Amino acid sequence: MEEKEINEQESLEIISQMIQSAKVALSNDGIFYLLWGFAVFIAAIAQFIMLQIGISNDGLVWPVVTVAAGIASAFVGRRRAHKIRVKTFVEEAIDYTWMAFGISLFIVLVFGYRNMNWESVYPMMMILYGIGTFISGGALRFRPLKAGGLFCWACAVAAFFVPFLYQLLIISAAVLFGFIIPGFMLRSRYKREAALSIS
Amino acid sequence: MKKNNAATSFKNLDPLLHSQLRLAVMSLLVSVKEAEFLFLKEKTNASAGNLSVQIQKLKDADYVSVEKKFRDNYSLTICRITKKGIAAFEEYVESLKQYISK
Repeated sequence: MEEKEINEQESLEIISQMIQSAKVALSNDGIFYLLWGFAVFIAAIAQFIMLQIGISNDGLVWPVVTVAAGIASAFVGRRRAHKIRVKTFVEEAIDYTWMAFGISLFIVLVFGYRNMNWESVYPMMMILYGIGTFISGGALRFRPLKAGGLFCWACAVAAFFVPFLYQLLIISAAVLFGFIIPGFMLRSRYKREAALSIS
Repeated sequence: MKKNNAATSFKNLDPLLHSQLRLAVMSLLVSVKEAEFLFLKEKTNASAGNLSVQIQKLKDADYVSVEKKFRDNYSLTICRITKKGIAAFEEYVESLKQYISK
């Protein structure tokens, strides 16, 4: 492309052509969904079969499959990082979503596998709070909300270790720092930006 | 009346955007969150030198921001459109629409 003079018609063509080619650049080819989908599918079926047949160590399928899929993911990710890529708002939001999923999964597996009763539900709710605030904070590009999400998750972990009565205090702390304070800060940011756009 | 509209909307077309390569770059950046220099070069088929110059002009006007990062041993130039750039682009499109749909 050189610097020639353009008329209005050509302008429109340039804009739509470029937007179209940007769209192509950002389509997701689904490799990671395939990779992890198959991994979990195989592990679940394998464990089922092992339990039915009576093979011991059936629980091992999970670490084995997770490590294998993890290594494969790392390889694919490293190779792709070298290619020219763009990062769109959508891809970024998806990244945050899976980050939230990963952290939540970790908390559930490490801290939450014990008896499921009401005492386990409150921490689970805080995991969910964390998911909502963390992803929203990432999508809005608002750090206090992201931090609020991380704090909710920390509260969830703590809550697994205390009796129900004290979980209530933890929940109030979680929403104070995860929702209320970021909410106030979001509001003042909004007012600031609204004032700027008028001037 | 027609002549009047043509004159006013023509005047409104931002000269910074009303140029082939700069408009292409802005259109790409409006679609993605950030784009590497090489991506812009590939999509616009521009020469590296010319693209550099035009991006600098857009950066001087605060329509785009440019960040230099490092990945492995390569240096990477990453371009993002700014709020001001988005507003300018939208205004440009509006003026285009007015001009063309008469």
